[in-house]
Amino acid sequence: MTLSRDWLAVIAAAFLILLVKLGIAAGIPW
Amino acid sequence: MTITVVPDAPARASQARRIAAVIPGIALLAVVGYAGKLAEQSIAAYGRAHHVTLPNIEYVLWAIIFGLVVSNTTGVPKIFDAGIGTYEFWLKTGIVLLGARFLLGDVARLGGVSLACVVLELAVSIAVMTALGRAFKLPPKLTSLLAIGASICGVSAIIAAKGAIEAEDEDASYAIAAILALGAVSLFVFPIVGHALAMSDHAYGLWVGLAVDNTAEATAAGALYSEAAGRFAVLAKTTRNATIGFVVLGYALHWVRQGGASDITHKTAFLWAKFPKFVLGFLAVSLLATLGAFTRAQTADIANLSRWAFLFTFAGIGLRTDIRAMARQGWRPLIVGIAGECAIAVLTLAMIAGAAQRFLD
Repeated sequence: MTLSRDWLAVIAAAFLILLVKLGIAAGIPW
Repeated sequence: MTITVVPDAPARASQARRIAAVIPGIALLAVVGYAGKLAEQSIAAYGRAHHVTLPNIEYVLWAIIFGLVVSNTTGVPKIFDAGIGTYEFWLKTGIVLLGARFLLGDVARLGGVSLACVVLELAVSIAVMTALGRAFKLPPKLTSLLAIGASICGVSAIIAAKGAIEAEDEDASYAIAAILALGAVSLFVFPIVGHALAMSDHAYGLWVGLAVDNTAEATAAGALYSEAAGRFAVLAKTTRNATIGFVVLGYALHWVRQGGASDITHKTAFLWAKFPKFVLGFLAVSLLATLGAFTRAQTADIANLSRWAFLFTFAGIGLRTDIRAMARQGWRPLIVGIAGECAIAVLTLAMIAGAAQRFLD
C-alpha cells in the first residue's frame, strides 16, 4: 500500500485536529 | 513522493532508516523557522519598549531570509537534504489546518455587493497579472504564482498553488518576496490615499481587503484607518481567502492540461492522480468550521498549529532556494509585480468608488 504525501498531510492534519477536539492538545502557543 | 508500507522485517528496517534520515533536516527547519519567529517578536518588542513604530516584518519573510542566507553562504550539508525535502508535507498539513480559519459562510455575511466586488477583483487581478507576465515573457508558472498571489491571499495562496502546479522553489520564493515587499509598502500608502479621498470606513475597508494581498497586512492597513474599516477589511480578505481552493483548483487543472493532454487515455484517472488531495482536506476542514464543529479556542489552537507547520515550510523554501537561479530570472518579475499591484489597487479603487455611489454608506 502506498500513500502520497498529500494524503499523508491530510491524515496528519486530521490527527492534529482530533487531538485538539479531544482536548489533548489545548492552548497551543504562538 | 510515496512511502511504502510493507509489513516485513527488511522493509521495516529501511523504513526506520528513512525516518532517521529526515530527522537532521527537520531539526534544521525548526531552528531556522524558530529564528524567524524570534526575529519578528524581538523587533516588535523593541518597538514597543522604545515607543517607535517599526515596520512589522512577518516571521514568514524572516524564515525565508534566514534560510536563504544559510543555503547561499555556507551551503547546506547533504545530511540535511532529506529532512529539508519534507517542507512540502508541512506546507500541505498547514493548509489543511488553515481551513479552520476560513468559513464558507463568511461569503454570505459580506452581502451581494461586496461579493460581486470580490469576484470582479479575482477576474481583474488574474487578467492583469497574466497579461503583464506574458508581456514581460516571464516563465508561465511564475506568472501563474504571481496571478494567484495577487488575486487571492498572497503567501498562503502562492504556497498552496506551488504544491498544486508543481512550480519551482525559486519561482515561489520570488513571488512570495514580491508580494510581501509590496504588502509592507501598502501599509503606508493605502491609509494616505484613503484619507486623501475621504473614503467611508466601509468603502476603505473593502478596498484594502480586496487590494492588499497578505492577510496580516490587509488587516493592519484596515485597522490603521479605523476599527470599523479593519473589520470590513478582514471580512473582504476572508472572502478572498475562501476562494483559494477554487482558484488553485482551476490553475491545477489548467497545468494538468498543459502537462500532457495528447496521450492521456484515462483523463479522469489522470486528473485525479494530479489533483492536489490536500485541497479536499482544506475544504473539508472549512466545511467543519462552517458547520460550527470548533469552539473559538479550538479554532485558535488549530490556526496556531497551522502557523507552526508554515514555520517549517518557509524555512524549507529559503533553504531550498538558489539565489543565483533567481538572479537569472532578472528584474522582470519584480516589475510585473509592482506594475500589477498598482494596476489592481487603482482598478479596485475605481470599482469601489463606483459601488460606493450606489450601494455603500
